[in-house]
Amino acid sequence: MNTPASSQIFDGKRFLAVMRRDWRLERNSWAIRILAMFGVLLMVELFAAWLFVAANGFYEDSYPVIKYTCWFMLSLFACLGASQFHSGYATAGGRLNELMNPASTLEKFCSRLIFCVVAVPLVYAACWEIADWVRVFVLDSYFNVSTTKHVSILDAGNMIFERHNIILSWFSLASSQAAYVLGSTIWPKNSFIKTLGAMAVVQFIYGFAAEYVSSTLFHGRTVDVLVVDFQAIADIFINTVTIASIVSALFCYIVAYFRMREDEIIQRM
Amino acid sequence: MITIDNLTFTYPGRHNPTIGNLSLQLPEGSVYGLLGRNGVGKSTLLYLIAGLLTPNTGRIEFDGIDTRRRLPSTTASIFIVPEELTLPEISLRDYVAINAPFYPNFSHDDLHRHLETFEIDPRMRYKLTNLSMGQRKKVFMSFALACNTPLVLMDEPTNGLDIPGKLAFRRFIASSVNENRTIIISTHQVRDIETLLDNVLIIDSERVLLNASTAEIGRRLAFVHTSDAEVAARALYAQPSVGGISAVLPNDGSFDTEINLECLFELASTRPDELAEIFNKQ
Repeated sequence: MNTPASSQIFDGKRFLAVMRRDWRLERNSWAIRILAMFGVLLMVELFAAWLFVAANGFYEDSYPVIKYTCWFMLSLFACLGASQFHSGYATAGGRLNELMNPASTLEKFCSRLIFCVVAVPLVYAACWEIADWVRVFVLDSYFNVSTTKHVSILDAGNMIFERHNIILSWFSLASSQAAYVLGSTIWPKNSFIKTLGAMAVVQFIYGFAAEYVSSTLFHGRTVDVLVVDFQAIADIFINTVTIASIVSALFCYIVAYFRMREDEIIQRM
Repeated sequence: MITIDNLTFTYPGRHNPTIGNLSLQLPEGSVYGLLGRNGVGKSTLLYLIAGLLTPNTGRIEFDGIDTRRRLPSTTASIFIVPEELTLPEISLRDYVAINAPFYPNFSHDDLHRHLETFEIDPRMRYKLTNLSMGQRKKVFMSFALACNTPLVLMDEPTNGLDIPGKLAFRRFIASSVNENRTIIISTHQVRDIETLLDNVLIIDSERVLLNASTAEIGRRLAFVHTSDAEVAARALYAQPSVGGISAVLPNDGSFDTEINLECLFELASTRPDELAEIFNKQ
């Protein structure tokens, strides 16, 4: 019991053991997840290649399919991955195994963060790159289209958003992941659906409240559009949303950490 | 040493506490039998000792540290074998590879020895989920004791074991006891553990009915099987059994009998005050 206090919070060797344990317990589900990601992306890419050929080589017909699907699927898989954060606690037996695992909450939290939050977009990006290279290869080999370009995941982002917006979109994605992490600590079972529902309710309430407040404050007032600096308003909006995303992500992660730390077997076993 | 101080615990949504104002001390190096009626909180007490539940009042310390803090050094010193197991869909070899590093005193030799005691294939290539419930329990208990943690908590360990398994369990526990290890076994299957125990702990939800070593119980009580109605009439507790009556008598020093846990439990449950008086005598 005479262990240094710091190693009760974080110990590198023990952290590696936790990661190894998490990896071994989840590698089968990871294999299925990667197959699903790659399979879906490959289908989209091949569909885009077919569109490209069917449209006689007009980029505009195939690229929007690629870029919007890329971001939509990234958001979907990232949030699905984040909703698995607390899945080990879904049953009383699983919860007991997790809680009695002799590692600190910080070590368990960081390991889950790496597997469920950080790794998913990275694996997705790798799947995307490979799937898009398959599209280029198919167009080049089977349809003799050598002019088509590989679209990297960052290019796809740049095509949709302007440069400053892409930062906003990454932060929005990060805050969505954080919300799903928090959701999984509240509802370890069917976390994705329940968090999605909860977020929809929160958005609805927020939208309703914002509409009510703005109509109350600004009712009857007019604005001279000629003197409004739209660019300045857009900058303020983007900065505000970016900061709000960061604050919201931090809030969700901190609450999720403490929920994990205070977790216990409540139901009678 | 486990110290339980004024412990109260109520499950959410219930009015009556499952455990109310419980205090006791359990010195290390013994095998404790934790007995009690259904619903008095035996399993709950084990989970509280392991730090898996938060008491409403009071605290539990293991070697001077509050177990609810669930420090890695504390959880590495406590192994709990629950009544119902959830094991991952991996081989025992993998299970050992990913869990053993957390326990500094884990011994592969001990694991093999325990598996052999239970007549389980020690090559460990089989998937845990392919085993029957009884086999899973044997494998898990073998792993639990191979971790060589100072405290092992077992909740109904013999449930689901076949008759050879129960015999093996007794050998398994007997071979694992040492002065640095405390084993607490909560069970209703008293005959499975009767010969293993150093100490008997009988609780109800409000208090400890009995916390005594088997040596002390043997000194103060005599457990006899008789057909003599006069002896039965003098007994603190008597119940009919095959071919006579099983009775518990105050021991005046003339008896040297084996403890009958069933009778002891019934005596503690039905006449707790008289039992306390007998054990409080100098």
